[in-house]
Amino acid sequence: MFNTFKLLLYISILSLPSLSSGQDTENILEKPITVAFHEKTLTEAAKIISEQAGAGYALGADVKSYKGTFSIQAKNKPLREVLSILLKGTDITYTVVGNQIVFKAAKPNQQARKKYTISGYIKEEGSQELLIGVNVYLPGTSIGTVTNTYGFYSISLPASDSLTLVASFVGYKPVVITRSLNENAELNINLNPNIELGEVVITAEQNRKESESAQMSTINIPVQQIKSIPSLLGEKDVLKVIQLMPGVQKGGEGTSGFYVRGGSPDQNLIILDDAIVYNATHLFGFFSLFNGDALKSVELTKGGFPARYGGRLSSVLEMNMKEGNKQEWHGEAGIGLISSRFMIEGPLKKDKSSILVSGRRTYADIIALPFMGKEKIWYNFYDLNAKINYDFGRKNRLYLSGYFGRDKFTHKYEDEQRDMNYEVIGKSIEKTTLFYGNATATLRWNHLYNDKLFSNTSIVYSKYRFGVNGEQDYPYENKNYRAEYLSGIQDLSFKHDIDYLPGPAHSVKAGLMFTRHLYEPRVMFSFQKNDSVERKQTSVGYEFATYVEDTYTPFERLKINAGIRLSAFRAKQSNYVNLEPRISSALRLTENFAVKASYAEMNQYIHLLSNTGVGLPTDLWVPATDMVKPQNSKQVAAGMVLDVLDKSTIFSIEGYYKQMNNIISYKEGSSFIDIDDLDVTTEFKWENNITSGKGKSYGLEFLLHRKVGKLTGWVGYTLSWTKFQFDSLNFGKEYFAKYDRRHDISIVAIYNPSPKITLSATWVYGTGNAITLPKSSYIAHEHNIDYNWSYYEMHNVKTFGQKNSFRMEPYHRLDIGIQFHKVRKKYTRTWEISFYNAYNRANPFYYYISGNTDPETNVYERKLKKITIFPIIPSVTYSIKF
Amino acid sequence: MKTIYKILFFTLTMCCVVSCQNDASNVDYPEFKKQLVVHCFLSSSQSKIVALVSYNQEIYGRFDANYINKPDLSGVKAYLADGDNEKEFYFKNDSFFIDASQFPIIDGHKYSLKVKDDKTGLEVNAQCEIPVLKSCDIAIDTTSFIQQYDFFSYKQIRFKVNLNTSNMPNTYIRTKNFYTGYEHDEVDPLIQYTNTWILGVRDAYIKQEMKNFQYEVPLELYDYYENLDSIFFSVHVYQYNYEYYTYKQSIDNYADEDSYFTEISPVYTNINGGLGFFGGYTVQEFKMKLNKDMVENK
Repeated sequence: MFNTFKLLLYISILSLPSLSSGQDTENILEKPITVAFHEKTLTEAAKIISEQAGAGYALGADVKSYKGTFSIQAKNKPLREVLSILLKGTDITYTVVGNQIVFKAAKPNQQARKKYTISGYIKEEGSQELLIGVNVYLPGTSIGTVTNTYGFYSISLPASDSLTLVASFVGYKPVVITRSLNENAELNINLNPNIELGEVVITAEQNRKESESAQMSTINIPVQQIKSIPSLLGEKDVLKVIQLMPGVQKGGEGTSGFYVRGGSPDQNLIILDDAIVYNATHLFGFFSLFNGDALKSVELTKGGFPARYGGRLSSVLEMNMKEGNKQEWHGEAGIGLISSRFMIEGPLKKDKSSILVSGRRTYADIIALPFMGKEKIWYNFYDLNAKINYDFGRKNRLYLSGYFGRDKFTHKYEDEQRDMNYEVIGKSIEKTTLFYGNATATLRWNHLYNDKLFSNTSIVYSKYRFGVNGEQDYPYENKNYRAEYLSGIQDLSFKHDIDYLPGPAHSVKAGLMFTRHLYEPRVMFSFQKNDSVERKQTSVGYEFATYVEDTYTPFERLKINAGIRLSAFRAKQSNYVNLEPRISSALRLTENFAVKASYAEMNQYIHLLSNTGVGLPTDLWVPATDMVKPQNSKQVAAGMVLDVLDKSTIFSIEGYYKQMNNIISYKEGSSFIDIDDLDVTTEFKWENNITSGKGKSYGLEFLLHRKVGKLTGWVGYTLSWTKFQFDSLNFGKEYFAKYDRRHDISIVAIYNPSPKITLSATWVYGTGNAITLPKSSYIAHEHNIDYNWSYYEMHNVKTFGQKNSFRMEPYHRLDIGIQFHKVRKKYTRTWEISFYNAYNRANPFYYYISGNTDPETNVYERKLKKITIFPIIPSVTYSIKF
Repeated sequence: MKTIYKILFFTLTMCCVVSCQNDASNVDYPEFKKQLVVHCFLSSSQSKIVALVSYNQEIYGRFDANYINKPDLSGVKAYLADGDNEKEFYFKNDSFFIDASQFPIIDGHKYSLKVKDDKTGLEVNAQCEIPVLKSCDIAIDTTSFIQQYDFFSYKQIRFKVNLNTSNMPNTYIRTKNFYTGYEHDEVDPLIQYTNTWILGVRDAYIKQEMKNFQYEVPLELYDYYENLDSIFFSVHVYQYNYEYYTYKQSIDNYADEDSYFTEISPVYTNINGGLGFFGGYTVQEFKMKLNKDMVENK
């Protein structure tokens, strides 16, 4: 409005001299001129033409920053015709005021001419992989859209004889298409990856601005960047890269559990191809399930949740697997210190169907087993990802994907049994196995009803199971005993989502989901010879949700995503129904600067019973019940984003405040061990060991992120506070959460000095974890009625003061890595050498109190000791891509 | 070659996985504050009232290895008051006493305890209320069976105790169950023996809706006691206030930093300015005489 006013004022001022000039407007427009220029800006073009016409010129504020270029060659043609040719296919018009040619944006009535929809799929050139999050837009305007999870886009635009559309995506060469639009049209676009020596060099050219998106608190990390960042033992780990982002904190040293804006790891919804992954870690939390080879996209949402997401309080980590190359067979393989991996993809039917299979397995057990004696101990884990898809044409696509992974720890003892004369009578075998793992399967059907209505229907199965198996075999006595303990959760879900794109001002998403959760907190089997006993404790929960959201652009500089989600849950005798309003908005104050704000309410109907917070396999998933209500959060966030350095870099600041209710904790003195102590035949009373409370987290996050160029990476800083209050913990007083971290800094740099070398470094710093340490000790007497003198049952106990009032040492670490790439005839190979904790910082994993007596001085000294688990760790990885 | 593999494997494992242990640095140790620790439990059934006094101890630092934790209580004075009267404890054998005859404890009354140390200047106090005795009915049923093995057998008697608690809601009770046998010497019948076996303690917090407190106590008899004169099964019912229940629960649930997988759980105290506990209780006794043939191993 202000700009329009300025333009009118400007035109009015310009009009004043024209009253006396006497020059006729029509005369100027009919004046023949000769011009020839190529790719000039609007200002340059206006200047040349107006000089030729012997007139002045002016640019309206709404076209001053127009980015397009102009070319023309005209000889002795009237100015009217020249201007018509020049401005054809743009939204710029002109008017002559006195002796001035005024260029300005087309008037609303011109924009309101008939609109048509242009839609299609965007794929990677060659592999035909559908691309998620590609920007499709009209250059020089804020009109545009992005492809959805299935690579589909749709945009309604005014009819035009010459419409210029740009498709751009980080890591790919942008495509500029000029065509007419006089009817609804299908436009499938292939993007070419910028490949040099097998590595993606990301360019900034025509990148879409972050300031133009309504979404906030969202982090997209290119998979290629994840692969370039140095890692522990060379194992590329998506979750550990996520931990380097502001607002996300790691748990213990080296572990993959992550805490988003003060929320615990169970409050993170981790989705792989629509399937929930309940335990995302291997090796007791030190590595995550996701190694990157099979992944296409990784996106973390920390706040301002769109209505399509729900079921967890703190974050949504959505990962999508690649579909597989539809043109030719390709693959990747790598050998690391602790594991090897492979990925192979190719067409089952060219351009129609493809398959991708990816796997990883550790091999320390294979190397070590031959050197073990009677007693064997080994550990291994493996992952297997697979995806197959079929393209039935423009309207229908089918996908079937799955993940299967398992950790297994085994202890086996074989011994010879002898009789009284020491004669060997046989062999005994005792074997204990601890295992845990996830399995997911997703069947998805994409259907395009029409150019504006896209749908996805999914049937998803997800299972997590932890178990311990003990077996004793005495063949010489014909005896065999076996006992097995299992716990876990199984989900079967149905989802239906639609994307409706009625026009450039609206993008509507709606859907519903239904999940049947089968909780198995404890299943026990025991076998003795032919006799077996099975004891099960299971319960079923039903979760339902429906949502609708709209991304609305009321005017060019404002975008609003508003939605509502209705969620419901039923388990045992408990029924819960909740409405969850969501809104986020972005207001662009200048071309590159926007302020954003959001509000979101979330409900979580599933709880994780965990003492450690590091994601141990012993953690139990249990439903909300009458006694333990669903967790709830309300989060408000506000911030600003600035696109700098020609849109290649984003600088953002966000502040947030999150209130969490009905969060759970073990009661003081309780643990999962207590739960295991209970007799399985009795009612499972985990609720008795749980207490509910509330929490709050607030803070500021700063991020400077460069995704493109030779030097990429980010600098992130978080200043935050997280506090809990439980009536039955810490005497009801508020206390800092274990992972409350006042300062958290991450610096990540990836530098490509040449196509053959990639240098990378990561430095992290964080305030120490809050823990509780004893202050003093004393003897507590219990009134003991077992004896006549009743006082003398004594307990040596300690005093602690406030819970979590002690801070561990600050954590900091530098990782460095170098990759050498070389293109061979049939493949590209990469050697990577990296150093985890390069300056060998002794970061504390945990503290304990140690006492020692010096025999010389007879002095007993008690002090705090720390355990550091990862000193400097070098690693070498070799990988090929063909 | 096998040896090389072993060395390589060992070295790699040591380099990559081994834990490093160091002194914690750049940390502020929790501040130690010296406090008086007092424990005292009052009941009208006591002949002597006892208060135990000590100090809490430092955890971190350097200490004499031969140090014996015997606090210097020479400057400590302790007083018990019922609102009207105050009586000072006398000190004997490291403890503080009052003869109950000189300061009778009455059910339902409130008492306050004060302890001060003139040497350190520390002073603590606490209050408690003795519960009013709420009588309850008891029914004891017995069953028995013989467990027969190849070379021996024994008899087990099961006492099924049913305590009618409808009169005592919101009370923490503990029952002490014991067997007492009176027998004479085989040679000289004038010599009498008494055998008391505690059969266990059962406790429960009685809520409004609980009308009964039921439990079973087993007694296993491995021999026949020919010289038994009489035998009894007794139940002492101790009744406490809620504060003691909180204290007892906190002791049962106590967990410190060594319990890695358990939330740290401190011990409750009601001593103002110090540590320990001051509480009261009442006792009632139920006794059941058993027939002699019940303990015969047949």
